[in-house]
Amino acid sequence: MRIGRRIESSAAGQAVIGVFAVLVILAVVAWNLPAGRPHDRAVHALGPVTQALGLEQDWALFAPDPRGFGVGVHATLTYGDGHTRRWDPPHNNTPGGVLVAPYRTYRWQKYVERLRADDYSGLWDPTARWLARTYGPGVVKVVLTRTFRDVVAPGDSKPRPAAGRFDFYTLVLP
Amino acid sequence: MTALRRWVFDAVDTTPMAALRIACALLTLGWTLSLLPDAQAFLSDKGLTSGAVGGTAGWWTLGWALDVMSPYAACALLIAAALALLVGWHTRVAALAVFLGLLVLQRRDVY
Repeated sequence: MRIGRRIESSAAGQAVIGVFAVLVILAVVAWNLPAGRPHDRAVHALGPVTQALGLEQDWALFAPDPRGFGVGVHATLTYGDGHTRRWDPPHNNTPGGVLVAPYRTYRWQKYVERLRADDYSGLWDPTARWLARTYGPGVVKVVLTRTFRDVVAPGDSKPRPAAGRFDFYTLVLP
Repeated sequence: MTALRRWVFDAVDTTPMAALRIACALLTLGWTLSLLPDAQAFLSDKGLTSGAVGGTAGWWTLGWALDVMSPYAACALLIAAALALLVGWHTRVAALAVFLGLLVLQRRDVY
């Protein structure tokens, strides 16, 4: 009998599998408890196990308040000879059409949502340097720009407001 | 206890689990292939995030794995494991390899 089946058919093996399954279920349930002391205690106790297994999840996707404005980020690269180039993150415009491109580019959308936020300022410098390396040589300045526009409610006849923009990070290279 | 043990561990038809295994393998293959063009950008030390992000770092989060192998090697291993899972070759080992591969990539690139 193969070793896997031998382990699964033994009492000790079944006990270990059972304990592991219960632990996983407990970790998932505890991590998703409503906010409060039980949740905080469970997260503190089970955090390493949950993170080791990659089970930590945040399901507050749109609740309680969905975002009321669209966001975007683009970069302006300035080269030594003075010419500039604009970089926009891939967004459903890559080869593959509407059936394939979203699967390929959705991670860029999630990345942009973090990149534009002040809480994730640690991403700004690596991103600017990656752009300079990728679209170089000769890049002397990278400016990351945040764009935002209020979302008009469905059925609202008001004109779409103009997009705002804000340069939130500048990298100057020697 | 005996009844519980029978319910959990007695042999049953494995067709539904095989279907789940194949679906997981196909999803893993598709996801990894979609990541390949952006592997350097999202997974390498000189990429967008310049290192692991997400959660509390520790040896158990396998952040060190992408220090010892390239992003493309990690993706290649994951694709190989997913193919093994798809065809049902050494499925226990393949499933563990897919799990670890996804964990390693997720730790470095949470996007």
